[in-house]
Amino acid sequence: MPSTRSKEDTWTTDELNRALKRDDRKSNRDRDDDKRRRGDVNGDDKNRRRRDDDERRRYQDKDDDKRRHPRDDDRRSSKNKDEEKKDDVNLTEEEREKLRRERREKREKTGKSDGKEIAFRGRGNDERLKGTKEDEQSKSRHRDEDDRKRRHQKHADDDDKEERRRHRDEDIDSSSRRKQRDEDDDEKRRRHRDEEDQDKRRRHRDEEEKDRERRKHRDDDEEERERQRRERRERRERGGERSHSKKDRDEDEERRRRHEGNKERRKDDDRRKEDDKDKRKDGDDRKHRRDKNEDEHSRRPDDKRRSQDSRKEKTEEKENVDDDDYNYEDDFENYEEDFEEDDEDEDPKPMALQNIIPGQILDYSTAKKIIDSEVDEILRALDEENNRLLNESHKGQPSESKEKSSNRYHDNSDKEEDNYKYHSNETAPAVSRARTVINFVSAKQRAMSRKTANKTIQRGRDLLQMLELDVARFDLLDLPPVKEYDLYIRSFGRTDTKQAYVQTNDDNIDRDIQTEEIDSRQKWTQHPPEDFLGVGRGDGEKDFEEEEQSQMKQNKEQDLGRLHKFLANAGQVMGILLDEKRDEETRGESGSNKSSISISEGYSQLVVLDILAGRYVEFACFSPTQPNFLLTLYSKPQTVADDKPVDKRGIICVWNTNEPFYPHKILACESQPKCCCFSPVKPTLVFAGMVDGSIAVWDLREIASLHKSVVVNSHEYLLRFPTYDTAGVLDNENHHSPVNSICPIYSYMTMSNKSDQQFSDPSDDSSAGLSFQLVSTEDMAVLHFWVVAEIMHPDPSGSESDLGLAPGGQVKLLKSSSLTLDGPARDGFLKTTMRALSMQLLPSDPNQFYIATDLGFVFHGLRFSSRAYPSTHFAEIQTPLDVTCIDFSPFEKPCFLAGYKDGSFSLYHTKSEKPIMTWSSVTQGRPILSVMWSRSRPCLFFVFDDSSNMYIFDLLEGDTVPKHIERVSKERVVSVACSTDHKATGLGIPGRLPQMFISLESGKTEIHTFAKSVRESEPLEAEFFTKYLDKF
Amino acid sequence: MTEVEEPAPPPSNTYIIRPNFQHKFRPVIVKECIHTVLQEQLADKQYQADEVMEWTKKISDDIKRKLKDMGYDRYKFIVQVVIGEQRGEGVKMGCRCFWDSDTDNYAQDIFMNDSLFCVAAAFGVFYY
Repeated sequence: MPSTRSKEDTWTTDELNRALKRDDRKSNRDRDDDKRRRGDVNGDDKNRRRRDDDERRRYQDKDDDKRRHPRDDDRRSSKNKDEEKKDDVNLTEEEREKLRRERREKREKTGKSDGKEIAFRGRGNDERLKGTKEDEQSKSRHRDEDDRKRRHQKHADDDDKEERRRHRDEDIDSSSRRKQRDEDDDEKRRRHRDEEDQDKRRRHRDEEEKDRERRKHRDDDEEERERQRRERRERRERGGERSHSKKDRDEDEERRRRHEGNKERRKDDDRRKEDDKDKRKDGDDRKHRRDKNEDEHSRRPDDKRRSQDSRKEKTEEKENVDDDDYNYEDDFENYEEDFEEDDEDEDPKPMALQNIIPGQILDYSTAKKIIDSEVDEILRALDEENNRLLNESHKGQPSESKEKSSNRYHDNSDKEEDNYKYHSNETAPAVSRARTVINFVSAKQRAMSRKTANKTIQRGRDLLQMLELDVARFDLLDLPPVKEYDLYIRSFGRTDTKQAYVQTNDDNIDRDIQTEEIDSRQKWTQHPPEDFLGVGRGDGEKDFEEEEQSQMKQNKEQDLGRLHKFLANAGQVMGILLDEKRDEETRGESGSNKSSISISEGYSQLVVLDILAGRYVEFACFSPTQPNFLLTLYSKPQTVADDKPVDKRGIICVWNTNEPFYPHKILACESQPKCCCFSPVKPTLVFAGMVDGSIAVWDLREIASLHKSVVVNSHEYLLRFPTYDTAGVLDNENHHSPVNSICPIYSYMTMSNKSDQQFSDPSDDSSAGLSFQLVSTEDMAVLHFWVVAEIMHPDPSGSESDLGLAPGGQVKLLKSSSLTLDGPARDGFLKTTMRALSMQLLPSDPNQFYIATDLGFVFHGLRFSSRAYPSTHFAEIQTPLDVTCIDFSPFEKPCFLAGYKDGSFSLYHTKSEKPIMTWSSVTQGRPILSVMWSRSRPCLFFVFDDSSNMYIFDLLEGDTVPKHIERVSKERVVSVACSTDHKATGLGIPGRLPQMFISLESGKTEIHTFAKSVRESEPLEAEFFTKYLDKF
Repeated sequence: MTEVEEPAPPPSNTYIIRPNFQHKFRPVIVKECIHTVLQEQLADKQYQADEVMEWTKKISDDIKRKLKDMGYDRYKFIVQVVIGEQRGEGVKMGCRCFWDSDTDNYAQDIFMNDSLFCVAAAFGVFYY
């Protein structure tokens, strides 16, 4: 009895239990059938069969229903489930019966047609081998296979009772043999596979459509195998139940009988069998395919329906080939037996027991019925066990996976699990109790789990068809690495700073704007200036050093002061040299103008400066050592003009007589000078006595910058003011009356003796010349002696202690002593005050001085003693009249001339009071202006009266009358002066001719050079003069 | 040949292959849920290598529990939580799912502070 169950259905335990009970029932019914069959022999078989089949089908349908119901109700609660099922069963039972009956009728027809078709097919197999039947399509074949399967199912419907019974017998027989067969399942499968291979090989030659089919076949191979196994197991169970019911002994007998009959028939059929080997294979294949189709059938109800439809159509065509069914069935049985034989051959050892047992059963069945049944049970258990082992060994992996899947199933669907457990708990113990075989339960469970696994797999498949799975990708996190800048910002950016951005362009250029520095300079000025300029740069302290340095540098480079000094000195030297040369050249000429004066070879005139217009020279004085230097002391101008600042001042000019065109120096002072003199050795200092009693000193070495220049009539004149002036400074010590005479205390005699040395050593000269004393005589007959002090370090800013000293002055006067002269008390004369009109120092002894007084005598005084002898020099007739002038002989002769205001003049010996000789009427009463010894000849002297007459006396030619009387000028001669003659006295410049200066009242001045007769002394003239003096 | 058909072929199994619309896995809601969990778990935490493992477990459990409470019946959940230290390195995380995009979805949220980052992803897979 082939099971009509669709194997893919998963069985719940409920179902299983029910199925098991039903099987029992069925087996009972079968038994009944068998009894009936035995009674009726074969005649009623058909009807009975039908009935049986009806019943069976009914059960099947019920089962199907039940199976479906639980599936539908899977998700329902387990409690309701059973009730509903029962209801369903009860309700549908009757209706279904009707339906089934109808279906049965249909199937009877189709079954016939199926049989025919199969027969046809069996025949057609040969043809198929040869490559015919190309038009058959795989689908139709499927249907055919379905039909075949149906035929199998509905063998009972077939009219052929024999075949049917045989089949039945087979089933029954197989129940006894099944032990073997089941055990040999694997073998069978193996062989089956081999056969399939053969089949395949055979079919290889067939059409391509078959190939396609085979491929499908192969794909389903494993599933089919499993299903076969399951099918067989079910069958076995059913069979087992049947077999171990001991009431089936009759059946067994019948089976045996039939078996024998089969054997006989087999022999008969041997011939046919051989012929139909192919068919048999085909049958096998068919059987195989039937399983598969069942599978497909259940899975695809549509197909089933379709196949049914097709069956209906085909029934008529295939009615002719009914007979061939027999062959097929026979072949089938033979085929099964072949299996057994093969099994025995191949597996001798494990099958030994099983072989024996069937043998026993076969041989001694009647004798050992009871034992058989018992053995049957044991064997079946063994069978199960072996089966399980084999399954596990062969299909280890799949079963495991199934169990796993079933486990999963248990886990996942809680409700189902609960349901399952409930039922299994209920049923399993019952089964074990009933069967008393433990392994059986486990096997059952395994089966169930397999079913459930299958169910889940199926479920998975179904779902997969419905679903579409795809791959989706998602990014869960994308965290980019932190950049350094971000890190910086994270750590520092949030503190106190704020980020600012400025976009700059290429053309953005910075420009600097800056004001120019103010150029500042510092200047200073100082008056009186330290140096030539008196101005400078820098501010005292800060820049002083650098300023000094720069100034030093500047000074060195362009020190005008130094240049000036140099030029002055050099110019002086040059001037002197030029003068000397000119002197040599003009020695013969001696003046540009021819003079009317006999003693004069010629004369030159000093230029009268504009500023000195209206003045005349009151006093003149040659430098004894340098006779070309001349001092001219100008009188007060007649009219004082305010616009001429010079007019208010006293003026002394220093002339170099070689250059009469311009004064060498112009000396100015506030007061009017009355007398002046050079310093003794070198004409570097000029002293002047003023009418106010002051004495002024000019240092001619002073640079011009120290002095002020005045501009008169667009001519610039440099006026030198006194270096030292006693005016207002030394009140008590000063003169209190006009200074009439001033002269250095210096012995020109000694100097002239040493003149050679002095000239050879000018440095000594200069030093010596600057340390000397000065004596000045005032009108009140007071003599002052001064010391000329040279200041080694002149103070340019002037002296605070000595107010008389001009700034930068190097020379000052210190009063050493003073003498107030008293007139001598003579007989009959009261001692009266006297005036000192003039004073002369004894050339040989500067300590003795002779003063011309207004009392008609010359006072002789000594500097360091109170009384000198003779103290006075009187004229022969003692009359109080002014002694206007006195002059000592330059040739160291102890005599002097004195001129008187009454026009007389006398020659005095220094040792006698009385004159040696007196000329009283030579000038005819005209006042004597000046008496003057010739510097060249000892015996020659000149007398000037105020009427410009000059009387020349030559003592060699007679001392009573003058040798010549000449009128010097029509104008009045104001003053006369003579220069020294170096040839005669050793003073002055060698080679320079002696000159006489005559100043006229008009302001004109004439410098006459003495004629040869005057300047050259006669031989022995000096001795003569000495003898002449000795006469007296 | 009666044309009476069989009483409907054995009814094939019926499957629920789509979730109820109300119970569909919605990333927005789930993300919010994840967000709250992350915030309350990690709000003021600093990275500590020892405790991070516990945190991940706790967070994932929390999220899972909350998801279960949200009534997504027939959904299976997978919650993945990764906590890493913030050191400035770049991190990339991705996932690949083989699923039915109609029903299945995922939601993820990221929590970051100065010392750590946490990525929590919840996958909802429909169980048919």
